[in-house]
Amino acid sequence: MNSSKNYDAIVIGTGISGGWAAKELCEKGLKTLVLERGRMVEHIKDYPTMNMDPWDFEFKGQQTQEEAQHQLKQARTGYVTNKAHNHFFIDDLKHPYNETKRFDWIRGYQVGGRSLVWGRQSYRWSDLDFEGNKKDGIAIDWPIRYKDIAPWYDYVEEYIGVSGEKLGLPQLPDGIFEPQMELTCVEEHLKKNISENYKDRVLTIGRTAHITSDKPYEGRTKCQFRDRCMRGCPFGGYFSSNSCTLPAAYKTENMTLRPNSIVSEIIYDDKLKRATGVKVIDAETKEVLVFNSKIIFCCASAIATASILLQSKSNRFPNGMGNDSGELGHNLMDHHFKAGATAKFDGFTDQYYKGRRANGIYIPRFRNLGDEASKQKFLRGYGYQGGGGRGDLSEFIAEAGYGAELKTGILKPGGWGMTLMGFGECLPYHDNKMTLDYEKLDDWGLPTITFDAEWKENEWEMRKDMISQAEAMLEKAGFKDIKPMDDPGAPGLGIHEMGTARMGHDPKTSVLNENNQIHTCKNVYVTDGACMTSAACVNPSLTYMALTARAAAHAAKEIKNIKA
Amino acid sequence: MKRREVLKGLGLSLGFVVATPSLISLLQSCNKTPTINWQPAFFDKDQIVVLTNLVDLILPKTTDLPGALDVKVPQFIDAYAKEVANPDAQKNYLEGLTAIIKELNKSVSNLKSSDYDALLTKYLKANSEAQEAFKNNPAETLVFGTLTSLRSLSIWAYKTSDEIGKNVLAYLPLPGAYKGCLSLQEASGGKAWSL
Repeated sequence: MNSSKNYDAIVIGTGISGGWAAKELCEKGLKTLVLERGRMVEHIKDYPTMNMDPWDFEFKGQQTQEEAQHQLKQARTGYVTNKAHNHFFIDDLKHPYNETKRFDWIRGYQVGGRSLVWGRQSYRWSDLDFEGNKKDGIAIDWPIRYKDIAPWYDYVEEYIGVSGEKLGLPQLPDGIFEPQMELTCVEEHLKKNISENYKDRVLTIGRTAHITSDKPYEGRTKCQFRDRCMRGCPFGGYFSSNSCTLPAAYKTENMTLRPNSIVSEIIYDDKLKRATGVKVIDAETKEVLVFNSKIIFCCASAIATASILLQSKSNRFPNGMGNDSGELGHNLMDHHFKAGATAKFDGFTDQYYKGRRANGIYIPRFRNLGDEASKQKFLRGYGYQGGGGRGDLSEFIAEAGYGAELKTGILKPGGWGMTLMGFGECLPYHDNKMTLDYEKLDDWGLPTITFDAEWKENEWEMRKDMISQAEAMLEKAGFKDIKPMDDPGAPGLGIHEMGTARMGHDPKTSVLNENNQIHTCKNVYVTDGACMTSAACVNPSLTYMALTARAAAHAAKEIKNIKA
Repeated sequence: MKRREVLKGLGLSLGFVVATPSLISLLQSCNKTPTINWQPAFFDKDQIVVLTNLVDLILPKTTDLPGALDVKVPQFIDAYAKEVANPDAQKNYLEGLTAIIKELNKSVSNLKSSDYDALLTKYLKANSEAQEAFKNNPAETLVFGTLTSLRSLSIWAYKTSDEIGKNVLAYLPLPGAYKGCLSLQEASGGKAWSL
């Protein structure tokens, strides 16, 4: 075993959270080793499909049967295995996991992680979310409130660029926004209709991490509306670690980036009573290396971070680092979605749009806002995402049948369609969990992960409302052929895994404190999805960024008290 | 396509060239049906002849626009069936084409364009009542399913081909900006967007 260099800080992972940890720690002058288990992906240079049209792919982007065998679990999403971007998702044969209950674990092992391919929807949490557990008597209370994180939301939004519309809603705080994107005609129609029919809800354009103004962002230019984000953007139009935070960290000359580095455990020193470094397996050579540092940031994603901590056993922590509470790996959450409705709209036949908007509409949460009127049978709430565009040719094709008339017709825009799809909060349940299987090891001799999680009564009850309210809004707005949508899939499909090393006030019931430090090993920070005490109903990445920047500022102060 | 020109010159319009030009002796027909001068990887000779004729009628060449054969839709479907389709879908394609040939009820080399047209009229111009009735007959169910699936594949392959995607549909690889609600004429000149 090689013992190598000492660093001020080690960051495990290069996705949304790891990129931010790298940038913040390096900019504060800390010599930082950034570890990534996957291969190198350099901005622009390593985006091989970024300018390809459908006809440039052998089968218009579809995988061959042989290729598909390597991504059967990734394919559960229905979209990530297209050849336009499937090279940014893992090979399931190389990276197996176990399912006591179905769990869709969708992963990107490369520098930049899933920040390359994320959905980019960026919403702030509110105190409705931070106070929810306490008010409902569910799980444990968050150790922070909106005021603790609000300045950090400002900080990250200003740096990454988030386009959106200010609404003044308490349940969805406004941010610092780039100009909002436009709605399509049919979305505008629905928006107007909802504002006339409902006092409690509003339709807005999605808040998305795209630059839409000419304000300068280093190394990035504004969104060109190509809608090819998941391939990597040569313009840097959307935020990714590769286009934004990693170049910023690199520029400081304080960053050492090491791809192909699988962290197997964090090393704890019983005498010093702190972590001293990490053990790494080189993914290619399988060589085992040790790197030392004063502080460690776990940003490997909720499942991988919990797995590393569970593997980090010592005299002090026989059940995994920081796991005195036994909560490590538990309280696994995701968002449940794909419940809502689709519909068609007659009209606007002479209207269309220009450009490809990689964004949809948003209807912020309107259930259980604390007043009597919005109270429901279920706890918490949901927001709708979706959108309206042209392209439905099904009726026309069925009528035209075949021949010259069919051919001419399919070259014209189809009918208007609209989708409203709810994204709902999932409660933190102790028995929704992941564990390690030491009987089934992976190619590097590490334990594989077993999932045992499911949606429960509150989620099922909420889904009924997600469907009926979507139908009702579309019906009132004069849509036709309204069809309910209800495809619960399984946890993981939302690709918002979180909660496996939650924050809390008390080491007896939580893993992390209010600064994202492990209660019982304070030089280890966890700032990815693992830290979440509840899930809210909004997309979580912006919150991971804000929490990471906040924790990095804390760590940069604390490090002065740690001797190497 | 020199070989194709040669075949046309010889007045042999239904062709199935397996490997070399010397095999043109295979070609025999007096009907105006398409020439096949490529080697299928998945379908057999009769099947590809039938598939090509059907696809040609589904999206025919017109004076102003290329047809499915001009953008090699049959070649795409053949390769797609071999490489992309899963075993169940592959089985359906083969059984479906067999059922179609059976219903056409002639040796394939004797089939005329009018035979294919009659079949397509029966199934793809069927009203909803007639479509319901197909469900009572397993052979008709299979033929109907195969034809609609061939039509979907053809439309997809046609619209995402280089020629149609770039030169016929409204092609704008780098929009630069987004306008959400414009008149159709102003947005794309009345065409659908390619991308």
